[in-house]
Amino acid sequence: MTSFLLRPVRQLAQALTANDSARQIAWGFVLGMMIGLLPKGNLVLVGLTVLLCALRVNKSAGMLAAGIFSIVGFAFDGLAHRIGSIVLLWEPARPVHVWLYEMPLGPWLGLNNTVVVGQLLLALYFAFPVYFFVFRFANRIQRRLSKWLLRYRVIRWLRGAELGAHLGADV
Amino acid sequence: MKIVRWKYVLPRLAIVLVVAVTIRFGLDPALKWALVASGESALGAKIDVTDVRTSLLGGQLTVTNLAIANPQSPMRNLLEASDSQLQIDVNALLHGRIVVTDGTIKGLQFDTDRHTSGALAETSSDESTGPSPLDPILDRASEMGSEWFDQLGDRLDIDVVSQLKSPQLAEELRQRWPEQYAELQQQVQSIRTRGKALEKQIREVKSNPLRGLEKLSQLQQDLASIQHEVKVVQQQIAALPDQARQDQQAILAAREQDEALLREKMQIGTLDGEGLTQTLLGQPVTEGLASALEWVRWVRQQVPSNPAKEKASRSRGTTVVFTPPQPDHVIQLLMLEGTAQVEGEPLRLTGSLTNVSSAPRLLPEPTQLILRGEGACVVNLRVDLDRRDDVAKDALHLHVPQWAMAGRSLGNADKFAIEMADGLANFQIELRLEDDQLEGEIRFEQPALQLTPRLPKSPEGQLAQTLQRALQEVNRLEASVALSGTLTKPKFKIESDIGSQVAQGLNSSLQRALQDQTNRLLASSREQVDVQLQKLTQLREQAQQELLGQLGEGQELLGQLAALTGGQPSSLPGGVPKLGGRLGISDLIKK
Repeated sequence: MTSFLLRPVRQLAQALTANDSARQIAWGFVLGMMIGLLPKGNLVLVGLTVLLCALRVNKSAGMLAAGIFSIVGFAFDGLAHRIGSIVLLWEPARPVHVWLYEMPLGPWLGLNNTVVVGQLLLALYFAFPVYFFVFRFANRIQRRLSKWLLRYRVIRWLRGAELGAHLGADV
Repeated sequence: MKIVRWKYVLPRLAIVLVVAVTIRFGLDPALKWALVASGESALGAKIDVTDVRTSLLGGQLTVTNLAIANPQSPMRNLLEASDSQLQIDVNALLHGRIVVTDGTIKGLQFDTDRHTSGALAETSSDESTGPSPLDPILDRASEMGSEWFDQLGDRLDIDVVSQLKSPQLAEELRQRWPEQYAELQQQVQSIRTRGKALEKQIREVKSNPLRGLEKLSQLQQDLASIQHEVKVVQQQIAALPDQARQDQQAILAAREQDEALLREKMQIGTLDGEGLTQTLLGQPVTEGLASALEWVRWVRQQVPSNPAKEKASRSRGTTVVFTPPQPDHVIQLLMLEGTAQVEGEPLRLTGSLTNVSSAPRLLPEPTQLILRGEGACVVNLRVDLDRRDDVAKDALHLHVPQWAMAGRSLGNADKFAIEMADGLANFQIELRLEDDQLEGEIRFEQPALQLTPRLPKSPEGQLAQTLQRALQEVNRLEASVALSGTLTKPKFKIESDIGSQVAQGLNSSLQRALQDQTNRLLASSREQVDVQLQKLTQLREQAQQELLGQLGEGQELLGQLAALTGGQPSSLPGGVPKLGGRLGISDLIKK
């Protein structure tokens, strides 16, 4: 229970103090952002989650981003709906949408939903800027911040708890 | 740098592989279970399947030995199919829909026997076991003509001769007269005997008058007594002609009664043509119709009319529908091959079932079943089940060009009946149902109709021959049954000239036959009475001669005795010669 409650803090500490490269952190964060923005219950989200887990990216950064953008994403729903509506109702693109929908498992992709399409496009639009800023941020601050954070016992304890959690111990 | 985190991916791939293998080997039993469970739940009867095989990549489903029990008759199968191969649209399956694009059901058989009961233990029968809505019509139809046939049978069965009065009266006279004659003869004989005894006594007295003087008065008294008896006998003989006239009047009156009785007994009501049509065709029509409508009701209960289920919409955004909504379960085309039994002979069936769907409103075409049968007879069946609108519309077209009609008998086989021989008929049904409203027509045509009268008591008699001739003229049956009402309260009206044809023939021939029979019975009765009267006349004439002869001898003796006793011979009133003339026997014989 404690592990569950402390997980966001732990992941933040892990993301900032892990030995992953800045690129891995940035990719993880971008994938997490996409996961967070997209409405749940579609195969695109499942695919992104699999990518986050299967690729050597910073999973903690991805989970952190997913958590943050899951909340932030609701604020963009109106915009996403408008964007999605424009795209989905754009007549020249209709054959593509139909093709996508009629593909095997097409309906499960969720690409006929205005918010899914809108949020996906928003996520793709923000992917490079977010990657760039997170990469720069991680590149500049991660080492210094890591050193500074590791001076604190609580951080060390959280990292230890993370390791313990990995080994199956409940803190 | 390695991009993929294999420590994460490989275990997941292994899990996916295990799931795939499980599906590969567990899908068939699972599908078999699902097929049986869902089918039993929908039909309320057992479904047996020997084997289910699937090929997910090819989208093929093979069901071996499918047997669906009849919910209304658990020891019989509704249908049986030895081999069912279905081609399933895999893409649609990945969209969450089961679409059978093509399929073949082979070895299809209907209404076959089961070794075990097909009733589900936990299912209580909700089927109505009450009477069919057509039962009252059926009863009316069967009663309408049978009353007439029974009436006719009764007429033919009555022993009218035994009820005739005039032969009975003649017979009674024949028995009564000899007794009367014997009594009179006895009296005459008594007079003669006593007269002779008196003569002897008188002669004794006359030979010795002095000694017999005392007896003389006594003898005179005896003589007077005998003379009185002679008078009485003479009066009785004198009354015979009057009695003969009375008897004659009685016989004439009895004969009139007999004629009235015969006419009453041989009178029969006119057979109503429409009623006879109902009798001839009502029963087979109502029986077949009740059974057909029962099936239609059952099929309608099984066919869904609901639109596609509303899929749960996402809470965020709007789902754009790029393709029209599709039903979750569709059978686009199913080829059918099987056999059925008609009158014990196999009927090969081929056909197709198209557009069967869980949401028929989403399909452009209605569900359609087309069956063609060959073998025992040729059958063309087409059923349309249209659930595309709010109002359910169904249509059934059945055409059997040469339907083997089983012979049947109308009326009481022990008295009088008409037998309709086996024959071939052109049979056509057009049935339309809109919501619960029934509309349709049944056309029936039997070009070689053979009707035979059945008179068990006189199969070769004149009446049988007359009826045979009348019915031979009716050699074609054309009928049209107009259907209306509702599915629960159907109505029908039979239009055919068969009833009027048969009725016309029967009415005229039967009236003639009954009139002939009446005349024959009357003539027979008259002849019998005349013969009896003839015998009676002869008997009376003979008796008259004898009595008069004997009485004449007695009268002579009494005259002599009266002379012996010193008196005048009495002349008896009427005199013997006049007696015969007054009898009027010749009047008894009808000229």
